[in-house]
Amino acid sequence: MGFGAEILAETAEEMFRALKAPPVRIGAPRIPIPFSEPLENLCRMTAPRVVAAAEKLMDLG
Amino acid sequence: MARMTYAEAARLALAEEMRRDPTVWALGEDLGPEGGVAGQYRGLQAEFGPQRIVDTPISESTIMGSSVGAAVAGTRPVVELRYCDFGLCAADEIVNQAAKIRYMTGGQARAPLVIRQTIGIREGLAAQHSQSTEAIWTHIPGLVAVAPSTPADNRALLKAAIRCDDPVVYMEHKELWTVEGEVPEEESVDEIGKARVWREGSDLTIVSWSTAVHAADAACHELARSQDALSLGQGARVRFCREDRTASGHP
Repeated sequence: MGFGAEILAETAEEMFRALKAPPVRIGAPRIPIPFSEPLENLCRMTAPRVVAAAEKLMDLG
Repeated sequence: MARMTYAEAARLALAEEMRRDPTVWALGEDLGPEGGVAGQYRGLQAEFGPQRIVDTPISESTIMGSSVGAAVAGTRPVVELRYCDFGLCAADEIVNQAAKIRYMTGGQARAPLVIRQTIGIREGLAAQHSQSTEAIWTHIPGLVAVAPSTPADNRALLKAAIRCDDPVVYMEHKELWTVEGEVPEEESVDEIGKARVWREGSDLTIVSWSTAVHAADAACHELARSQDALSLGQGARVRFCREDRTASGHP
């Protein structure tokens, strides 16, 4: 889902053997964006989410 | 360099293009006295008049349909649809008309127009005003899709979009309007369809666009710091690509 899917598909087609780990997508959950502030915040792209995904991908624990 | 907001950079870009090319004009809701939802058209109607900064009724399909006609007739409309959610009201004119005309006429007609529609969350706007529809537009052949991340981008990419001979869906982000950044004094027109490498590295690649570029940038700083703290060798180098312009179907 999302434009990230296209980027990952092209990456797999063009440079699969250069990848060091399976790529991941980070995006909003597949729900309409909530009005509630705490729920809305769960849909935002934030630095901690990117860091968590990167650490898991690179096995940094 | 001049410091300005993302909205001010867009206003500067449009003003420059309207001074350069008399066929460039803009239309949409509340562009004149209000100056647009974020002030991105402020003062332009006073400079260029109501024939080139045109206030329209609330009807996205009408705004978009007349823009396609005006573009085929030889002008370069900048179409303000405010929110990408409302762009869906004009989907027929965008997808079935603007995106198809060049192909179906064998290149005899073209629709050089810019469809501005903001994407993303801004606090409390809820489900019908918070969507990010870039995946829809990037999958339509015949449309060019652009999503600027910084004030400098917004100036250089909006100018490129206006000069593009194909219809461009131009997606500014609501939460970036007030973000300030350095914008070069000299005029520059960016190249559509080319990602920019924000940070060089060899261990990790992050691809992002629009406001997510800023989250990724902050994450790179955090990763560089924490990896040093963990004594992970020399510190992993992080590569950070910015894919903020995607040209699907761009010639």
